[in-house]
Amino acid sequence: MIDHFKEKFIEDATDLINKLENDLLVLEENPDEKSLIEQVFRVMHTLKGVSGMYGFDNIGELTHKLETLYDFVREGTSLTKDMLDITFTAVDHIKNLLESPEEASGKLKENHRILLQKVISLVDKVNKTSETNVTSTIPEIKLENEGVEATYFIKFLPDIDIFKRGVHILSIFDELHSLGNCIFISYTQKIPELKDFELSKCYFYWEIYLATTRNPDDLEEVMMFIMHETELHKVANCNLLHNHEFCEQIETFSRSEDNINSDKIQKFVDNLVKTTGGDKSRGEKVLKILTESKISSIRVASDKLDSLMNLVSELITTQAELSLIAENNNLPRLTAVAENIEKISRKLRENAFSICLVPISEMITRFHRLVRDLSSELGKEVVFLAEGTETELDKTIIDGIGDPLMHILRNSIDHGIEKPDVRIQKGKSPQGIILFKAFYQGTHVIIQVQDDGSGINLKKVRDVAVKKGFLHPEEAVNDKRLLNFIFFPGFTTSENVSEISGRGVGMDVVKRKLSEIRGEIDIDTKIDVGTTITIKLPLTLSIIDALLVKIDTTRFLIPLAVVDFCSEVKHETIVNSSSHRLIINGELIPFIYLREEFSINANHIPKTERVVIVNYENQRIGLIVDAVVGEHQAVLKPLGEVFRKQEVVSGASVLGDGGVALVVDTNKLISEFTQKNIEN
Amino acid sequence: MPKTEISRNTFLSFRLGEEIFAVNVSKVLEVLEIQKITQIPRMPRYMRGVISFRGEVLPVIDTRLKFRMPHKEDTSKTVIIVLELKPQDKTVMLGAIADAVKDVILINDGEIKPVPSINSHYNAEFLLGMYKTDEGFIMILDVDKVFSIAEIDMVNGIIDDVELDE
Repeated sequence: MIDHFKEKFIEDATDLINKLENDLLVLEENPDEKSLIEQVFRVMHTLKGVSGMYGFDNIGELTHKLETLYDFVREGTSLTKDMLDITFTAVDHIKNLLESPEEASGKLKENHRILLQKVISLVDKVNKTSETNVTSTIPEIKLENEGVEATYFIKFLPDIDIFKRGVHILSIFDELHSLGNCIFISYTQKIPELKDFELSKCYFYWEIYLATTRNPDDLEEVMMFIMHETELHKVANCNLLHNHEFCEQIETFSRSEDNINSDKIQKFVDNLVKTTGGDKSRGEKVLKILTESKISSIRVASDKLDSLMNLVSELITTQAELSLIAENNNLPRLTAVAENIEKISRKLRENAFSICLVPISEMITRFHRLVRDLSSELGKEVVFLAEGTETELDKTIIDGIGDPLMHILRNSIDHGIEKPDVRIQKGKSPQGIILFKAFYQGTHVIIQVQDDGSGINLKKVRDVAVKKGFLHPEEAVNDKRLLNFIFFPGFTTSENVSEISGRGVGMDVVKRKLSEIRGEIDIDTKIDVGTTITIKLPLTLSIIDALLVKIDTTRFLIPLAVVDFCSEVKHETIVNSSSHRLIINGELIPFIYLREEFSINANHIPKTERVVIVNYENQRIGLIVDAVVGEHQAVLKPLGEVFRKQEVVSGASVLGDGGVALVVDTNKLISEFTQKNIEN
Repeated sequence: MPKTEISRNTFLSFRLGEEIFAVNVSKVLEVLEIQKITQIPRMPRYMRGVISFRGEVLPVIDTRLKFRMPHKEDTSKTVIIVLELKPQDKTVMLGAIADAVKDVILINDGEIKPVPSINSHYNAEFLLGMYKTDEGFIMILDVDKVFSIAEIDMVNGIIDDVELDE
C-alpha cells in the first residue's frame, strides 16, 4: 500500500519537475515575469510539503532552501544566472533522486551535499543583499475563470432540399453534441403521405437545447452551412438541462400542438429563476464550483492503453468476420447488426486512437534543455525555436523518435552551428538558430530540424567515403547519394572525436531506429547556409483504412490515404505500352505492373485489369492489379523477423475469412521504382 | 512423474521424406492442417509465406527446402507445426511444414544418444541427439538453433545451392 502511494508520489513529482523545467526555460528568457516566479515558488513549496511525507527527506531539504531563494525573488530580489543555473542543477538532481529512491547513497549523496551547500551559500548571499524581510506565506491559488456555461435554444427548420446541397445533418448534430449537453427534439408533422414522399427531400425539423461553455461564435461555426435555416437564442446563463423542471417543460412544449418560439421559453426561464429565487442562484453557485472541480482529464498507465489498442484491434478483426458471415447468409437482421457493429467499432477505433495521441510539445523541454546546456558547454550561442509543437503523434512513435532527435540536435550544435567569432567572420549573426518544425502532410507527420550553421562539406564526405571503402575513388555520384553515406555505419567527417558526437556511431543508428517505426530520414545541406534534416513519420502503427485488392489468389492492401481513384485498363494496353505509361482521364500516368513486380505466376490473367491510382510526392502513379475488392479496416501485424529484409510489404492484416492480406508500402515501392527508372 | 518432467521428455515425431524427426512438445503450440499460405513477394521459395494463427500473422517455412531436400507438392497429410521459439529473451512463433505427423513419444534422458559425426546428413549442431526405435533412428531437433534468425538469413543467401553443409 505504502509502495503504491510512493509510486504515485514519484509520478506526480516527476510531472511537477518536468513542468518546472519548462517554466525555468521560459523564465530564463523573461526573468521579470512575476507569474512564472510564483509558479516556480509554488512547485518548490508543494514538493517540500509532500516529499517529507513519503520519506524523500533529501528532496524536502533541497526544495525548502530553493523555496527560500525564490521567496526573495518574489520580494523583489532580481533573478540572477547563478540562481537559474543552480535551479537547473537541482532539477536534474531531483530527477535522479526520484529515479532511484532506494539508492540515495554514494555518489548521489555526495552530489546532494555539495548542491545543498551551494544553495545555502547562495541563499545567504541573497539574504545579505536583500533589504526586505523574509515572509513565507503561501500565495493563495486562484482558480482560473473558465468559460461560463449557458443554455441555448436552437430551432432548425431545414430547407426541404437540404440534402441536395450536400449538407450532412447528422454530422452537424454530432458536432453540437461534442460542444456540451444536448437535447434534440425532432418533429415529424411535415412528413407527407407515402405517395407524396420523396426520398431526396427533408421533411423533418428540429428543436435543440444545448448547454455549453463555448461562445456563440463556436456554435455558429458548427452550423455554418445551415445558419439561414436556423434560429439561435441564448435563454439562460447557466446549464438548464440539469434542471428537472426545465426538462419536463421542454417535453410538454414538444407535445403541445402549437409551435414553440424563443419568447415562450424565455418567459418560462425567467419564471423559473424568479420562483426559485435567491436559493436558486446560491444553488447554482455551488453547482458551478462542483462542476469546476470535476475531473477533466485522468492519468492512465500506458500499458493500459496498449491493451486497449490490442482489444480494439481484435474487435475489428472479429467484426470483419461477422460482416462476412452476414454477407454470406443474407439475413436482414444479422446484416443490420453487423453494420451497426462495424460503425461502432470504427468510432471506437478512432476514439482509442485519439487517446493514444501525444503532442510533440511533450518532448520539447528535453530538446530545449539540451540546446541550452550543450551550447553553453561548447561556447556557442544558439537560439532554439520550435514550431508546430501541437502536432500529435501516436505515443509509440513519440517514444521512438526521442533519442534519434536528440542525436540530430547534438550534431547540429556540435558540427553545424559555428562559434560566435567564426560566424561574425562569415558575416552571420553571432547567434545561431536551430528551428524545430513539425507539421502534417497527408498520412504523415514531418519533423524538420534546421540549423543555420556551416552545412555539410560534400567534398569531405566524398573523401571519407572513399577512404572507408564505401565508394570507388573514380566513381561519380550525385549529391544525394553522397549524403546517403552519412547513414553508413562508422561514418564520420569529424577530425577529432568529441565527447558529444563524432564517433560515427550516430546517423546509422538514427536511421535504423527511425525505420523501426517506419520513419524515413532525409538531409538537405548547403555550405555556410545550413543543414535541414527531415524526418517523415506515419501517423499510426496499428490500424489503417486500406483498399483491398487481388492479384491471382494473393490479396494486398493499399493504404486508402494514398489512393486517388480506381480505373480499368485492357491487358493488351499494358503489354503494348513501351513507355510504361497509361492515358487515364486524359492524363499520362506511369504505372507499376504489380504481378510482374512481385513475380506472381501468370496463369489466369484477366482481360481487363484494374488500375489503382496513388499519389506519390504530388505525382500520380498507377498500380495494376487483377481486382479491387473494397475498403477494409486493416489491423497491421508485423510479418515477423524472418521477413525483416522484405521492404515493399510493410505488414499484414488478418481478413474476415481468416486469410491474410499483405500491406503494400507504396512509398518504398514507388521510390524504388522511380530510382530504377532514373538509373536506366 | 511431475508434469514438467513429462513435457521435458515428451516429443512429437514427424516425417520429412524418408526421415523421422522429433521436437520437444514444449516447443509445439499446435499442429495445423495445410492451408492456403499467402506468399510474400520477392522472398526465396523456402520462405513459404504467412498464415493467420490466433489473430496473429505467422511466418511459415518449408522445412524440406530448409534441409535441402527436393521440393514436393503438399498432400492432404501435410501439416504445419506451429513452434514457439525463444531466441534470446523474446518469443517468436513460426510454422514449419512437415510431410506428416507420426507420434507422441516418451523418451528417457539416457535413451537419447549423441549424433555420430560420420554419415550425418545434417549439421550436428541442429540435433540434440538421436533415438533408436524398431523402425530406425529418430533425429531430435534443436529447434531454437534450426530456426534461429541468423540461420534463416544464412539459408536465404544460399538456398538455391543444392549442396549439403558438409
